[in-house]
Amino acid sequence: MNYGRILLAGVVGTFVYFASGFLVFGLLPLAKFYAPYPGVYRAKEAVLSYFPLGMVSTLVAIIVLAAIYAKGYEGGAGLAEGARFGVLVGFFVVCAVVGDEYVTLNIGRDLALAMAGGRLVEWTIVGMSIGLVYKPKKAPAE
Amino acid sequence: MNYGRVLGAAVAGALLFFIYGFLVHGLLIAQDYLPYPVGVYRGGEDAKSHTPFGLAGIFVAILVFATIFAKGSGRGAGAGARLGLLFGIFMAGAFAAVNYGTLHISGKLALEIGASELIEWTLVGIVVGLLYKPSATTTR
Repeated sequence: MNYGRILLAGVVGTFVYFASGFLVFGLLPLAKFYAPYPGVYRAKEAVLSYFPLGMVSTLVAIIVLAAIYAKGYEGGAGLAEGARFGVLVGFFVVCAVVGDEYVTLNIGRDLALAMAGGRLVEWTIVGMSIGLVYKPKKAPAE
Repeated sequence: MNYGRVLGAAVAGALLFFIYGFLVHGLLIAQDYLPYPVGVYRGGEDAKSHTPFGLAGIFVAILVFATIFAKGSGRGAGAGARLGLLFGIFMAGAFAAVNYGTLHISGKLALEIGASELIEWTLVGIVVGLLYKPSATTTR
């Protein structure tokens, strides 16, 4: 495995994650789905005070994701390989996280569906960015 | 890829996930969810009526996990444990920690959920690693 590229893919993937998250959840109409649940989610100002923790933990998570990608890398075009991986991760997140949150949290179906669509897109884009950045180590020349 | 084995491994992994979830979240740390009876978490019948969505979701998620394992993360319980641990770190970092920042829950509960993710997915990885075998036609 190319550890330098895993780290770089993790850093780039984290930037892409926050940028796509801002676009998908912050700017698109998806943000309005959170508004009816002030008892579940912290207020925007309170969330901002936890933001550094979220940044660091997300960076670690996406470096780990890049390591998982590198372990299963089968060769081929990075963008396509990354997109396939990203779709798998997106489905995993939708089913393991959004599904679980819909069952346990006091939120409605509209928000759960919005989160599912948003996170599927978001993690697919992160997978594509990891695929673009990660390159396996070149075999030593004989 | 041996699709039958992927399915079998996912079924076994999901069963383990539910047993673990019941023992840890339903019994061991259940009292730490109590300060949030109606605000954050669903309660009683409301939670029960939504449970089928969660069961189906977890099964599909573990099917995806088994597919990623089968695509090439090594073979056997050790490789499964390593992939499961990586997924556990991913879940703890991307969701347990982030949820602490966005949900009205305590740091103690967030830590317990994060630690639980590590153990839970490592165990799922071990089960998937033990049960998945590649197709006889693809072995060399």
